[in-house]
Amino acid sequence: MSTDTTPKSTDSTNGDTQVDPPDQPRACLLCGQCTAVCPAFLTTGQEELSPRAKHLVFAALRDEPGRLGLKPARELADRCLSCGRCAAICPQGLSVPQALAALRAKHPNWQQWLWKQWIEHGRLLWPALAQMTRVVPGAVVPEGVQHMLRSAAAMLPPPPPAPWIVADRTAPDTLRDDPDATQAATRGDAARPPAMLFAGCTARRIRPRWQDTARALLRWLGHPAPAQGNEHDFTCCGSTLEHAGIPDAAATARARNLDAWRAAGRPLLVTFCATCHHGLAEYPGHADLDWQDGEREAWAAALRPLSTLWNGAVFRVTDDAPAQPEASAPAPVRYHQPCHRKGTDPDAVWLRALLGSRMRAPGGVNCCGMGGVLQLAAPDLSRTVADACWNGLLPERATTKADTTPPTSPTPPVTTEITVLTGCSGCTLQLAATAPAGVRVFHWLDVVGLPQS
Amino acid sequence: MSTQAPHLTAAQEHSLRDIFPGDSLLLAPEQTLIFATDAGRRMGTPLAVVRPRTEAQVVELLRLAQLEHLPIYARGRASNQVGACVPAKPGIVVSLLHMNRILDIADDDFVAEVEPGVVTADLQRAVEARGLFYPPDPASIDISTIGGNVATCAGGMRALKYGVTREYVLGLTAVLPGGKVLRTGGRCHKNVVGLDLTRLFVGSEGTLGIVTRIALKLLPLPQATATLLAGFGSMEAAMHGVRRIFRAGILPVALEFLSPEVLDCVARRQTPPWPDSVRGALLIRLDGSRESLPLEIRRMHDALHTTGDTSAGAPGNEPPVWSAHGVGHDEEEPLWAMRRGISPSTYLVRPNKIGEDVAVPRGRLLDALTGIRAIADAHDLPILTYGHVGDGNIHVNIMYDGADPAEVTRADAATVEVMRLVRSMDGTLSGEHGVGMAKTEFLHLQLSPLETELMRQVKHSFDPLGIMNPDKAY
Ligand SMILES: Cc1cc2nc3c(=O)[nH]c(=O)nc-3n(C[C@H](O)[C@H](O)[C@H](O)COP(=O)(O)OP(=O)(O)OC[C@H]3O[C@@H](n4cnc5c(N)ncnc54)[C@H](O)[C@@H]3O)c2cc1C
Ligand code: SF4
Ligand code: SF4
Repeated sequence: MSTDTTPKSTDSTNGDTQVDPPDQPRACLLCGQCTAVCPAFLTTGQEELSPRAKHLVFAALRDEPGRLGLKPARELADRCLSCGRCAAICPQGLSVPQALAALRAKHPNWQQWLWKQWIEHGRLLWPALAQMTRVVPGAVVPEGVQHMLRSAAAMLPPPPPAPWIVADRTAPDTLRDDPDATQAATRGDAARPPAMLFAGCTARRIRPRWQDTARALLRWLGHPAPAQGNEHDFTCCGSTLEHAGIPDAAATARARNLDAWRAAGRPLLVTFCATCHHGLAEYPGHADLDWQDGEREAWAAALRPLSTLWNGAVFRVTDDAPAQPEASAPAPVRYHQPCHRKGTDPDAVWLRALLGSRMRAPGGVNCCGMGGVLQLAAPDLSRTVADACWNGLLPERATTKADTTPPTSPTPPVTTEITVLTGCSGCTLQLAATAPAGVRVFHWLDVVGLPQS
Repeated sequence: MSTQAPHLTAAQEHSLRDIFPGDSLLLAPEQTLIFATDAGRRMGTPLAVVRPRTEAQVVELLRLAQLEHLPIYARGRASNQVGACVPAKPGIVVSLLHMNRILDIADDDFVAEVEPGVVTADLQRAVEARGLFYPPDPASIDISTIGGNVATCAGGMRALKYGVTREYVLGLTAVLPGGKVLRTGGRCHKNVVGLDLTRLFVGSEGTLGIVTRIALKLLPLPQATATLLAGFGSMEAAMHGVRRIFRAGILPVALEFLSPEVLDCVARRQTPPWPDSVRGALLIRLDGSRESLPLEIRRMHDALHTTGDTSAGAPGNEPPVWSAHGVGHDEEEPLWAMRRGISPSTYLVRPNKIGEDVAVPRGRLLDALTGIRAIADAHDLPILTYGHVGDGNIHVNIMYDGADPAEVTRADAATVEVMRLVRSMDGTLSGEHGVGMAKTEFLHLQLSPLETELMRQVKHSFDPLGIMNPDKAY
């Protein structure tokens, strides 16, 4: 017999949608579903790092003050990558990052402060950190900071590769398949609906190229910039600030973004970073925003990943695509699916259709290990998770036992240069910072080009 | 209340530290907290948690534990729902998740050898990549280990055609209290020499020793599968459907039943594909070769629609009023996702539940379901029934509101009545979840004093001091 209990809610028949007050969170059923997806647990085999272990610790801190030490409990709970996978699978909708955010918000300390600095003063700090990696000898820097510096080094843009996925032609005849375009057409204007780019902190501050290419693609696709409003009014999506335990700053960021979208006349809101997209997609659930009637739905409908706007446009893989050394065969491409891409990943769908069997994506749970605050709190775990991620991306490198390797999967030569593509700013930086020799990591926008006009 | 919390002596701690360096020994209460419990949600007291990587460490541990009379609790993914790995007496929890290597997959022997911490779904993927098949598929396949599956004799959807974990365990290595290493069975698919000590460990719930290596039988991977969801006008009609399938000589891979109450429950969470006239459903999976499968689907369809057999004229002997089917993983998946969604959606009915997994002889299914419905009516509580009806194994979810003392009392009373009903039909208290701590109070309904005594003597020969998962299971 198992005796399962859900917490009391005022309307138990409405368990799906109900938002519980923060001091009465839904109870963890200890069912263990979350243990199947948590990278912190799966890569270490340490059950105390699993989401359900963390929720049990949170419950003990809440219900039995004094039973656990606050500092060690927080140190344990902090070992979380903010990937959100637990929340997506939990039948009770419990989210470790959310619970941690609340905990951090109550007990701010220097790590969160530093992260805030990092995000809020990113323009200044990131290039500075990147610069430091050139001058600070690794040996004298503590391990935690060293890791930050390695990430910072990855923030210096690598020499841009020649674009090898080239936008070829739009498909005006298929415009009518797009409900937005159909709407525009019935309004009598043939153009696509106006679109505004939400580029996110990373692109704005250290990868302006992504932003430029994305804007050029939108123009090419026929989406005009809105007549009023300004993309520069957008700020951080807020989710990193929220998880870092700085809810006030996060709320301010959200309010500014909503205002900027409104001011622009509620155009399409286009993203190319899975994490930004995830953060923005959560806005309708935030009661602190002054939503007007019907506006939550409008926001959800306006929010679109860039790669869902192709609408029949044709892309071509060019001769500039990386080739195997001394061979005409194309070099392998691996795709990293960002944790924050819930459900079907439109970037992967598009790239797979374009690249066919040349692109492979590992199945299962593969987290890059970026983890927001974790970079500062537990760099060792970040590294362990990153290593596991690379083993998944490069199975030919992974330490497999000969006797369990399927005979059907031949090991490609390790000399081949491998390109890893992804669709998240944070993943791109983290993977670039941890990539083994012979592997080049790009946001797919890095390799996309427009036709020369 | 005792002021002195139970704890290890400094010497015991020191000895453990010698065997388990670094973070393979946990002592801090923040770290050991989760090891106090499992999916059954009872709490115990872990004095320490250890994470062996080698058999030698387990040997050392069990030598120490015997010497010091320290209770030992083996633990896989702690997905069991009966408190089977809760340290009810303060003791040492042994997390086997770091012993998770697939040691060998032998294509010609049709055998896999694994360490206990391998996650069941990982093993299945590894063998299926080579055209081999490990059939046991508990719903917890992604969140449970082979070691745990062996120790609980886990069942699953495919048990109807392929049997439960027991059928696949050919041999194992177990470390016994005191540190002796037992190697029993082997890699042969048949073996009748001596008493079957291997299978004695299957379902033993960690009460005899710690299993450190397991040899499993594999089968050739079936080429193709298909799934049929058949909706009937009543629960009785669905049960007649079950009978007709078997009478027609068809052995499906899986045959799951959904009662009208469960269908309503699913409908509260998602728009169901079936019309309102459906008041009972069967979810059926078939497998075979690509050529034979369409024929099998046809036979199944005929069996369900041909009501003119020996039970013709019996009340409710009617064909399905609606059906849907899918061939191949992508088409089948939505049907099975609906099945997996049942358990979470039960909470939409009431915030609390008592979950039982009783089984009855297959021929008594309709009687059991009707009897359970009568108990629900008598106690004015929703009781949701669904499950592996092909095996006679029914999940009985007695739903109640824990905030209402009267409902709690009625739910407890209903539980006892369900147990008695099942026993009156020569059924069993548990088809797959096991006894753990949760069902010990009902054991007398099923085990005779002689059986209990013999089981205790068997345990005594393995574990004379009673340190392995004490007071659980039998
Ligand atoms: C959502 C969900 C669905 C489930 N569905 C099913 C189902 O369909 N069928 C089914 O049968 N069960 C099911 N279960 C129950 C559970 O998953 C099984 O009992 C499973 O076999 C437990 O495996 P585990 O690794 O989690 O073991 P644990 O829960 O960690 O341990 C179970 C028992 O095995 C012992 N044990 C573990 N490893 C060893 C070892 N190496 N040596 C000796 N003893 C050991 C433990 O001491 C304990 O007594 C389900 C559970 C959940 C939460
Ligand atoms: S999935 Fe949710 S309810 Fe289940 S154990 Fe994890 S956190 Fe708890
Ligand atoms: S957010 Fe990710 S890393 Fe953190 S507990 Fe949840 S699943 Fe684990």
